[in-house]
Amino acid sequence: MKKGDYFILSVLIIFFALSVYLTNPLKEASDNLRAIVRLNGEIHSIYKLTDNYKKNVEIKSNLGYNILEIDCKKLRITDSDCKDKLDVKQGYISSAGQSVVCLPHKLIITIEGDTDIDYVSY
Amino acid sequence: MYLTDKIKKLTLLSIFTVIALVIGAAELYIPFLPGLPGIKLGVSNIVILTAVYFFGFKEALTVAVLKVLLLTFMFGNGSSFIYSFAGSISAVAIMGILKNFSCFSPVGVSMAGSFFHVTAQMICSFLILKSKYIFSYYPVILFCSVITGFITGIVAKLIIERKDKLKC
Repeated sequence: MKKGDYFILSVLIIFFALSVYLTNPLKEASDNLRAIVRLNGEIHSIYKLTDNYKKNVEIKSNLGYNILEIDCKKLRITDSDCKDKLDVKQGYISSAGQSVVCLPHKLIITIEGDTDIDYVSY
Repeated sequence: MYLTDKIKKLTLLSIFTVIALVIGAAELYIPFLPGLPGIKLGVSNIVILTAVYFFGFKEALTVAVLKVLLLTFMFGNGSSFIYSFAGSISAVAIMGILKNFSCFSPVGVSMAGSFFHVTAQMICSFLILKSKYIFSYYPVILFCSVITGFITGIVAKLIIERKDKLKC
């Protein structure tokens, strides 16, 4: 390693720190998440998933009920009177594109975000 | 330049190209860090960097372009060609420039080349995908590029120091 090499290395480290600092807001922007509750294909309600937002909602229809628990940036179904309880067993979902489905009650809860990337493959 | 020298140079450059090609092909099957997609060690950069020091910018550029072209014909597709080509050209360009300054050793030159390689690819994918969100992966790639550039630079330095013994 010569003098110039340390110069290159320090420039790259500065550049790395800068890139970490500058690309951080991009992740925040893609975190602008909302949960969309659809009953029988129609939008029932929309909740914004932000920090310090906690809520328990009962989603009722003539087919039965589901209890949705929103815990900051993740959500789950805590209870339901459907037969298989697959939605309860699924647990928390937290990122854009994920969904919880309760087929017997025709209920679909999806998380949507502002990210314009659906999937990345290499 | 005598005819024998020309033939020698031609042969050596062909060998360099083939070595770069074989290493590049073998590397496709070796993931450097499992879990971090798109990152590889870039061992064929050793060959390109050695070519820069042994022959010069023009010759190394030829080796790099041939390597990318042939590798694409064998394994790649259209989009992988654009990324590899942009990365290779800019890496060779910066290495060819920095090599002329005596204050840089092959290690530093390799790191700079590695950095330019990933940056060119990043800009390329930004222009193709037109999404600024791919830049959120840039710090990871940049960090790895400095490390891989350092490793390949050290290996290349070992070869370059033995230039007289190699008689080429």
